[in-house]
Amino acid sequence: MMKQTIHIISVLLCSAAILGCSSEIMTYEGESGIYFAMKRIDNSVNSDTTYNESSLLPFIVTESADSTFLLKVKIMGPVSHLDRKFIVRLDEQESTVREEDYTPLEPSYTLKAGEIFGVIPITFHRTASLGGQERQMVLELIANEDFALPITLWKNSSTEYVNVTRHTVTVSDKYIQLPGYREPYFGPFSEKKMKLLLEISGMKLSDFNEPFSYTKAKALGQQLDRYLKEQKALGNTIYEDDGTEMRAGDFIYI
Amino acid sequence: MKRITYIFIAFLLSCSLGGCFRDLGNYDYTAVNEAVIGDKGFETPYNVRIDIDKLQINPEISFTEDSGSSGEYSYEWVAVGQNFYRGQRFTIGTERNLDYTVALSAEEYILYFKVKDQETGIVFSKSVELNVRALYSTGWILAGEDADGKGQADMVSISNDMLFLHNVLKPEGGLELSPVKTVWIDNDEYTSDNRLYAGTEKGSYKFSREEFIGSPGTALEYSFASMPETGGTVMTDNQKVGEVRQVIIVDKRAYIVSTDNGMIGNTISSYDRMTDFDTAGKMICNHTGVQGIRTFIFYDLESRRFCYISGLSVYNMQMLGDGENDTWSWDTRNDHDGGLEFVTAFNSFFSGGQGTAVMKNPSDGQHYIYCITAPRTGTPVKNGKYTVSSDAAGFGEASGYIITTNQGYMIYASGNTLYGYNFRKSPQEVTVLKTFDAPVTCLKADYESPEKNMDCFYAATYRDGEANSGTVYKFYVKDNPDNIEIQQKDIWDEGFLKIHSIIYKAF
Repeated sequence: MMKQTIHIISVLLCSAAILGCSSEIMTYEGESGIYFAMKRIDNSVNSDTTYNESSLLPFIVTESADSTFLLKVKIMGPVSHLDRKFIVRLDEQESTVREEDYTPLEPSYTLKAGEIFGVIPITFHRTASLGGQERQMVLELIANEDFALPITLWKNSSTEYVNVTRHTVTVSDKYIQLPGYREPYFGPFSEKKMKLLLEISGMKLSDFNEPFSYTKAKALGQQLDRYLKEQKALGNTIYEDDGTEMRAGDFIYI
Repeated sequence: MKRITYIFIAFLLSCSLGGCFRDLGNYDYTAVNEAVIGDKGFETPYNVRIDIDKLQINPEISFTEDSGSSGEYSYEWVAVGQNFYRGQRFTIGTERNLDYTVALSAEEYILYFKVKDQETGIVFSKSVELNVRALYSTGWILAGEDADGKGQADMVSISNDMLFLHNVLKPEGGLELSPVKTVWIDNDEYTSDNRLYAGTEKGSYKFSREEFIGSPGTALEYSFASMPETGGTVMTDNQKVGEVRQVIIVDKRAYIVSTDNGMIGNTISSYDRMTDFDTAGKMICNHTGVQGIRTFIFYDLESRRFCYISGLSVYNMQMLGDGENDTWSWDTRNDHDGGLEFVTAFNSFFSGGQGTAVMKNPSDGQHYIYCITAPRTGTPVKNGKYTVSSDAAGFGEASGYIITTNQGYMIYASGNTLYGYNFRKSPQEVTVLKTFDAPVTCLKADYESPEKNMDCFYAATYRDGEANSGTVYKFYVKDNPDNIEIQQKDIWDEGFLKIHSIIYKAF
């Protein structure tokens, strides 16, 4: 018994002696992951690391019969020297797009060797039934043998989290509130007001596809305000379709 | 056997404990070979100009353990940006002696000289201030037109020694300028819109502040957030007080220039934000109060009255009310039938930053001088209204006016003559100060350069029909309460353009 104890102690001490001399550099040992990486385009300082969980594809801006939307993904973990597959699935329960609205998704997409970003091209069609409508395509990433989904929520700020495994693409063929339309300066959005803004500013709808600087947004809001007041003074008060008086935003002179 | 086992266990115990022991001791001391870099070449800051000056530094180095300097050493000269390129490193030499034609961007740097002992890997360094300026960094920009009537600018560069530079504007992309009547440059180092503005007879353009490059694509009209109905073309005034507020007058409309990349919002030439009015082409502001004076005074050409802006956020003009005992009215129609025409306005350092408007009664041709101050807070202050004496020869046709800093005299130029005019005295006095050999095309009081408190001004002359005949004279005004006296300090007879506008570029 004593002998056996001595042997056990010997083995333990041997291993302790060997381990005591070794040193090891920690390397990334987590699983490879993937997430949607649709950067938010705005004027904020951290816009490079903030993501959107929804995107717009307004045919009224693109004015084309077909439009290919590029949905971006990004990987976590080591870059591989081999091509890898990832899977994106349409959430049929949540989506309102019709089959004729888009070209079917591929069963899987390839992330090329050495890349950290991948792209899912989705071709939408400006169908007759889409006229005056908007529909949603809800997409979700599915884990496979190449990629897990270690991140679901991405922290944009201390108070804002977005889902980066699901992404909603809104495809429309009607006037929608584009990123350049800022309610503090233009007031509540309506198709009628959007058309009026274009008329008095001489701008194109596509100009509203990017956020404006505050100086520009304010200047446009002031122009809208002046026009509405001028028309009212002429006895031609402009109303929204719901019967309320059209107005500019509350922050044009602040 | 048992004994051997115990010995083996004891051995293993010592091994395992030894594996956990970290020996931080150094029991074998040797003297480190230190590089001692002498002060020579590192005592005074270097002020150099891009593409012109050479940095030549031959440092004195001795090695504590290598008297013959026979070891293997590497050298590096690194400039580290302090402001615009803060923290960025630029290696400008890898030899022991630096011989470098300056090609760094204009910036303040710390220049580090590093010596590395290749054997030990130890680095020794010494540093010195290095101020790099572009050729166009500092000096007077003289804008106007050449003999063919094309807009251009010359420059008196005082970045280091004085240089006289010609045709410094670089219009690209087919841009042709008409005569430059108003030039302005942003001397705020951290401005979001680091541009030179050139207001010509037919259009206005922004040029890059360092290289003076402009093109049709840099036309001022593209800076408007929303294209004004007036076109946004001809800039006649541009003023910025400190880093607080920049106001521009374009096509007889006043605008605030945003800190948002120099974008220009809607006009403020309106009382009710509904109806715009024409504003005179010059404004009054107060450059003595670089911190916090947001008041600017304008003249409403339609109502013929002065108006102003003040406060933090401005979207329209304010009307001015008169006091019961005021001897004159902000509304010139109250004192003169139909009101007065605006001739010009300009600013000064006199009496805390008094501004001046020269006015004319269209019915009888009589001129008036309105003295007004833009205060730190509240409404503009009336300092006096003076009727211009008939003794003031050529007053109405003057090519330039200034007010002196110490005594508040007016100096104006008409034809070839420079006049001193004490309009505050009764009776008024007019003195001929100097007669040039050519007509004066521009007068400029210095309230921008390091000499701004020296009561200094410049006069530019030009002989029409004679190309490159522009000359600039520099004067100091003597602080004499009894007589107007000036002292000519310099003549720069350097073949300049016909100069219409002068501005100081601070860096």
